[in-house]
Amino acid sequence: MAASRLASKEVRQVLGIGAVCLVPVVLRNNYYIHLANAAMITMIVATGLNLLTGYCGQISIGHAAFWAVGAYTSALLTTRLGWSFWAALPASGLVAAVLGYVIGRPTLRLKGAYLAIASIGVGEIVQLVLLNWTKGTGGALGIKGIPFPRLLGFELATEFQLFYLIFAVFLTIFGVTDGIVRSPLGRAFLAIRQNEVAAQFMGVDIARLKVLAFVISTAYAGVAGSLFAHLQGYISPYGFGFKESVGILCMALAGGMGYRWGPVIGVLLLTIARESFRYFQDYQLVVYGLLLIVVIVFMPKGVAGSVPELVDKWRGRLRRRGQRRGQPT
Amino acid sequence: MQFSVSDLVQIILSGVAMGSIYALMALGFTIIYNALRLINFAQGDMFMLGATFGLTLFVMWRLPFSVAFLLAGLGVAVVGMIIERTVFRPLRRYPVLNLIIATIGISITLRALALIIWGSQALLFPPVFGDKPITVGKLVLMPHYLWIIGIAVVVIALLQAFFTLTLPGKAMRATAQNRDAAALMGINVFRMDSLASAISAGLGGFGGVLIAPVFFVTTEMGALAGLKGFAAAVLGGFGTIPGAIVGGLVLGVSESLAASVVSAYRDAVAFVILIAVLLWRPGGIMGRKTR
Amino acid sequence: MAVILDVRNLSKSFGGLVAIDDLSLEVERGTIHAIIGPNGSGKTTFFNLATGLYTPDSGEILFEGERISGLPPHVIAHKGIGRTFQNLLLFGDMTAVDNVMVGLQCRNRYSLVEAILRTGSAVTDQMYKEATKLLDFVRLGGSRDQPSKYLSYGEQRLLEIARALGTNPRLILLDEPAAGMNPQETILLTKTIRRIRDELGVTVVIIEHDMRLVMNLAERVSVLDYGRKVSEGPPEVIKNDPKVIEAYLGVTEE
Repeated sequence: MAASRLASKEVRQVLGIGAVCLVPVVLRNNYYIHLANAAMITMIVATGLNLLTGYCGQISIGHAAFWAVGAYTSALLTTRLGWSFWAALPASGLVAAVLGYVIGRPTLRLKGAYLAIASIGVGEIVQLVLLNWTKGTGGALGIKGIPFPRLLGFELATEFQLFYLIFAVFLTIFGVTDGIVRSPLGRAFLAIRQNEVAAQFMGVDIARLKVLAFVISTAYAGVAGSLFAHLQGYISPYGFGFKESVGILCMALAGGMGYRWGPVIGVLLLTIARESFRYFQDYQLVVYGLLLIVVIVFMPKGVAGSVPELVDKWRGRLRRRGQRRGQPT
Repeated sequence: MQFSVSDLVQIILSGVAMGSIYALMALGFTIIYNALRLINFAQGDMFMLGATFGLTLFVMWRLPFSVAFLLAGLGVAVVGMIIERTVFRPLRRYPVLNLIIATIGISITLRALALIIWGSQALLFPPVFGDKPITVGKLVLMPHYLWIIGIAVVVIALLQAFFTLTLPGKAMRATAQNRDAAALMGINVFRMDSLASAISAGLGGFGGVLIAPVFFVTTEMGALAGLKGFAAAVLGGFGTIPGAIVGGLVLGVSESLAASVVSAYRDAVAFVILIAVLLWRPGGIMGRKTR
Repeated sequence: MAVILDVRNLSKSFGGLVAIDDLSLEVERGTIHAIIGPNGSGKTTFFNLATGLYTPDSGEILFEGERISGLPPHVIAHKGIGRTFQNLLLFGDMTAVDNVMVGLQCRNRYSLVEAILRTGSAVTDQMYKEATKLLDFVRLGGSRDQPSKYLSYGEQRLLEIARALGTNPRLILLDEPAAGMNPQETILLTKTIRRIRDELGVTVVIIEHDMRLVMNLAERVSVLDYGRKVSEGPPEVIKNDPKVIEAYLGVTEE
């Protein structure tokens, strides 16, 4: 029985992956495929935030900075030093992670919301450096002509081709995260979020693990940044600010922090919402902001957490009604 | 680079003036934090609303500046009260992160609404404080800086009087110290939340309308001002009123000094100081040293 | 080595308040050792010092001959001291079995890569089995898949014990384990604590207000008052010590 359950799980996984692979074929429209690509990149950042906040209980409000660092690392390595995309991708993750370690190590040793506060500062500083350090980053003009990734001698130059590359990276990150969450490490993260004081008496090195969670999440943001740079072909300091940081945090929270599918659901939901609100034109952001407040007020655990609870409640009501009709117990 | 004494006085004066504005913002953060344990990311938008309300009242409705100033601040306070009643109160039971994200939702909504009403163009607020420099001996002083400092001092003095002399002020401080005990003593703690939200929004509003004649008015002006006000609050020691004032002034002056050396990184000063404080003195300049 | 925990001239104060005042204490391996005293006499502060939450102002604590005072809590946990908390600190949303598994993880240290690779169901199954065994040991096997916040007060106390045992301690510190338990639960708890020593070979130090339980269970009792040790000995002696009665009732001997 265990074997058949395993087999069916694998079948489901293959079917799921196959279905996603059909998405660009079905969408056809380049703009929509581009949205899907951008959404998957955002999901990578949101997955890292989910690990950091949903599992380990730490809050970062400056993650766009690490996203930017990844994007600029990749852009500079490929345009100036002629690195290949395949070397620049992990390097971007690494550079972002190193910065994450430098920020996280001192701030996470302190109790309280220091990481949240420091991350805001880091976000602003990184953006100002990108804007003003013209020699290194191209200043406000940014970096142009970032090459498309090459695979087996072919250039992945269309949204359609890039979809599969980004999907493969996303899938890897999702798989690694899933592995972490189910491992003893994931359980230790969760213990920190649930009760930091108790966790340390159970042998959990809370300071080290918090830094680890932060470093992993910044590495993800760096990788996402690299993909973003090569998808766009052009990057500038605009688009990596406070607004973007909180935007991704909002998506992760709306989807459900601490739930495996939370970031995916959140990014899909809010991306689709924002796109459909285009019809409201000027009112697009008004509606978007209000939607966010409504989701937070009525679904405090996000869609992934609150919908099953609502369904349970609803089922319980049905069952109780059924019991009332049957014999009283 | 050589500075004359006059330059230096000029730099410090403008720093103190900007610092007074930051202090008002920081006080806004502090007061709402003490009441609701909440970092309010819509605080910067209260600043923006103060400026835009002021602009409408003064330029469009042609009210005298003093009246426009008061009405703009009070109007923003009302907005703060409405936000508390409709968003913060229902969310009290949930994790802080939810509340923080809700304030971001409020910020996005307000900014988008303001964009619809006032447009995306930077708007000019006529100089009401006079633009002729005053000369005192060798010193050349800009009058609007003096006005800003003066008015901010009056606002802060009134706030201090409210907290120490009036019954609602004392009740608010009691609630901040121990909410349950205050409720048991018959204080309506929800009314205190409302009041705190109104006061902190109003402080942001006053800051905005004060600064409007110096800079242009845009719907995005609250973003950076909000973050800097927050940095000032942390800098002085988060959650304390003297901390907010000192933090604001220190930030304003150091920013002004730094800007005269490396102007491109003027806006980075706040955040570099912020991180330095977190690393070496997490309790803030005025706070106890905690480790 | 007969002494497992050796406390030498320990002092700790908070601001002007002296919580522990020149305390010396020895716990023999394989005993059940009770620490009693009125509220605010420094019992929990002593536990917090012994498990690394606080650093002593002066004096030291040796565990199995090795100085542990000043080490951080997770290092002390790895060295073999487990504890429970007076005010129940469970991982509320996690199931009972997951709570114990957090403790079990203390038995091995993994590198990051190992930790991720150890997701195989065989390893998880093995840990699940061990955790279940510990839950059965404290008679909580039936609620192993319940989120711990839904357990009763008494059950939560037992779960804390199981979780602490998960860390594979040689010494366990129990902070008022019977608080909030009904008489039947208290009787079962007494048996469980004795079995912890007899069957698992773990030395027990217990803070408890329930005197019947203390007299029943402990082989040695230390009495604290204002952070000082005012008396020590077997329960029969302690029961009749006028100093102890004074500490509890505030009666002067005249």
